[in-house]
Amino acid sequence: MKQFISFVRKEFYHIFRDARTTMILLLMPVILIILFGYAITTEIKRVPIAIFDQSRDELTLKMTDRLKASEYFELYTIVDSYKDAQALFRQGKVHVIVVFPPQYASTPDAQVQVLADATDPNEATQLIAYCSAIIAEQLRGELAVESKAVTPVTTLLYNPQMKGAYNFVPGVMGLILILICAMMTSIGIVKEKEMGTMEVLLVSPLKPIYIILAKAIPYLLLSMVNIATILLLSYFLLDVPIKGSLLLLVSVSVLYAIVSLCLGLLISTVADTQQAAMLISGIALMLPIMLLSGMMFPIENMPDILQWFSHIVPAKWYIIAVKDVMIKGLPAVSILKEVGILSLMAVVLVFLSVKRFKIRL
Amino acid sequence: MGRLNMNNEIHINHITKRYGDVEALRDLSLEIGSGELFGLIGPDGAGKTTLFRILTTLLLADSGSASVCGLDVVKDLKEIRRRVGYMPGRFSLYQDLTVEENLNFFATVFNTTIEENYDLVRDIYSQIEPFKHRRAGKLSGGMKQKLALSCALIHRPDVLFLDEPTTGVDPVSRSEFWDMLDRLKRQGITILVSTPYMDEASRCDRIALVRSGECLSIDTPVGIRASYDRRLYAVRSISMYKLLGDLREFPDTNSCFAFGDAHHLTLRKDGEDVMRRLRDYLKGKGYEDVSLEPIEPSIEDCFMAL
Amino acid sequence: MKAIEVKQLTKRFGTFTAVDHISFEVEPGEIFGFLGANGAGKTTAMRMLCGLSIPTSGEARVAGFDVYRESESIKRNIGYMSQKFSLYGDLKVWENIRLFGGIYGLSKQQLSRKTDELLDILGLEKERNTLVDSLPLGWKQKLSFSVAIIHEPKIVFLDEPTGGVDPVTRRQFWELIYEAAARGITVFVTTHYMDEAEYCNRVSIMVDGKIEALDSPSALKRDFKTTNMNQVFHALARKATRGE
Repeated sequence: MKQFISFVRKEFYHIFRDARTTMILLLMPVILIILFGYAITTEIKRVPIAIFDQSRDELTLKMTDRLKASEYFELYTIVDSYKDAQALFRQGKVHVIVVFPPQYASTPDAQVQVLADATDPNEATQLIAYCSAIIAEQLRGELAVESKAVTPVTTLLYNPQMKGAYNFVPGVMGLILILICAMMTSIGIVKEKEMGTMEVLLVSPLKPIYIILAKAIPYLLLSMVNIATILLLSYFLLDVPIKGSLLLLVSVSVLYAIVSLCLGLLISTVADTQQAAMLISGIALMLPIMLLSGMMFPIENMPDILQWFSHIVPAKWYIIAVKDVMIKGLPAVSILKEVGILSLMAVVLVFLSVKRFKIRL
Repeated sequence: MGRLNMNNEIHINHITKRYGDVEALRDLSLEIGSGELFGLIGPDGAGKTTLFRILTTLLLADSGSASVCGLDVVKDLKEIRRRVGYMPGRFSLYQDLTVEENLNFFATVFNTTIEENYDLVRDIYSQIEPFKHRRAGKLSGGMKQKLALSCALIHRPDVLFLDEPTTGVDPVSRSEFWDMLDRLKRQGITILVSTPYMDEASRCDRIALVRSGECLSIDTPVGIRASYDRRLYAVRSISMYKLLGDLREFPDTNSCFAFGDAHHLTLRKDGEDVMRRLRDYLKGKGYEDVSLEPIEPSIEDCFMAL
Repeated sequence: MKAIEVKQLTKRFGTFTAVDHISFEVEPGEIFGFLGANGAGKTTAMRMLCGLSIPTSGEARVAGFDVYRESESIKRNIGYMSQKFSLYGDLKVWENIRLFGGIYGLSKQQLSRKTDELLDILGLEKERNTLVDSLPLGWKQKLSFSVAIIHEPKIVFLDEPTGGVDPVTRRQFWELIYEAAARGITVFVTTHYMDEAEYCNRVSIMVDGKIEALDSPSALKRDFKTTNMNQVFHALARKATRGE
């Protein structure tokens, strides 16, 4: 045990004496939260819109006012023909055009047409949804007076303001944990190989499992500090609530951190240089997380093979679990599946990396 | 001292190790006795490091067997790792830890403390103790080597493996280092040490001259020098560089190499008439001041003749 | 003009004086041995002379150029080789020669002529297409030296060029040094082999940042009343007090 403690202490010396890396590790979550919170946003705000109103009755004017008033849209112009509307699209001046048919108010089954520029399909889907919601809301207001075809009522659950933060905060947590646990652990172990100190450690009675655990523990703790930073920032700065149990949230995070550590260990058994370790963790871990975890792009829209592949990305399950607990406030039973999958991954990875850990050079 | 009665021998039987097409060790056999200070002398690429790694259980040989303290290097890996000390060729300590932290760390890794074995390392460690709060990366070559040796000794090993401990170290630190090895030997520790510096061979009990994975010769330094079978001459003059070329062109020259302030010359035949011809030849080349004297060969001469 | 002129050259790191007011001159075509214990300040001094580090005080001119203001000109006129960095191991022999020749601005014809000449002198024609990593250390070092002087520099700096090299190749290496010196290239060399100190025209020995002795090997041996440079070195370096 004394061997082990002294090994862990040594790891902390390494971390704190490399002040620059430590600063980066501690500041990274702050920077990511600020980046995603303010700069890289997928939220809809003040999108230029054009309206082609062929009826100009009371109802369509009210709807136009509503659209204008919404913080999502900004009226670019009112057009008089489809031709003008198309020209605006082509020039990229507007992203959405709302077309009211003639005699809208007096035609019982009249329909509003919403055209969206689908060069960015995700944005287009959102824009149409927002537009429809605003129009539908206005219609409901009128329903009491006149009888109109019933429009389906959309209600946005859990994230009524459709805030991006609800989506990316769990994503950033998934990213940071992998980055610190997997990348830093693998680099830490490979560094010993590169410096030749592994040679001395191997020719000592120290058990390999001690070496592995001692490398992992400091980064586990560091990543918990990061989780705390992220949660505090998102709670106070971005107004993302923590609806479920905090303890449950932290437990899931620890489980995910352990999976990440195991991934790092596995990488360290493959890589011989620090650069290789960094590249492997960068490409093999970061990219799938960004692309296949559902953090940025919805998995449901992906081709089958990618959807299938996304199942083996641990971050996907972690992000689902975090969303369930943090945003939806669901209890532990509802994330049993995710927890189960993550635990299984941890077991398999531990087995593989201990098996692959070379007791010789 | 139970140690003295223990079997701290090293046996190496027909070890061969290949890396791809390159044969690092070719059917190498060696017997090293308990408490012996044994030197592996040879240049870079002779296979010394490979041999060390096999003996310290870090590498598996392709064929052949070896034992350390009577323990098989393949089967008894754990026990061997408890009983040997190893100082690899390049500096293998934590550069970002201080001198003291490094030593403490290695002490605990081996389940011991500095205090427990202080008497063994005192000699060496006391020289670097004034700098114990300095980071290991900031030490000079000689200091690093002393720290590395302290770390390798801290658990009182029965056998010590030192892979080129003196490479890149200045002559004064080098001779101090060998003094330390002498004192360790007196404690009964078997020491296997490699070096590319031929002049260090005389500090060993026995040496093996190695080149390209083979032992060319195994004997005491005196024995190796005695087995040199040619007469060796030291030749000096003012213009040494020109002399080297001229000596090589002399028809009866077997070999001629620069050795510091003199050229070491061997001739194909020995005898008064050859010597006379050589003197005449040099006079003919315009040398007035040539001194020519028979000398005893050094280990380096022996190595080069092999 | 002197090849190297150094007056009261000093380098301090904080309160630590690595190089302490050293002065010496090196003649063109001379083989100058720069000896000293580990940590005596050799590397720091050599870095200043190569224009890689700015001195704290003092003067130094290398190949006639000032180390403070003309480090670019210095770099064009010197060659440098150390034990650690020599050549790119993952490039072939001829590729290394072309690369370094190219860096020093040799023309295509010069390059192909130089490559043939160099491989011929070193006896490496057969290894033209070999990766440098698979050459024995001694061959690498000889090749590395030849590449370091491929542009016929005025001065070549050699930092422990022969460490670990086998005895025969080590001597061949020194023969290359002699040939270079005979062509007029000044050689500034550090070594831990004391027999190699004997091959130098003059030798300086640094102790604790100062030059404690500077003369020809024979004069030094006479002054210290010994028969070999090893004893001269020991007599001086034992005085060292700083355990840097």
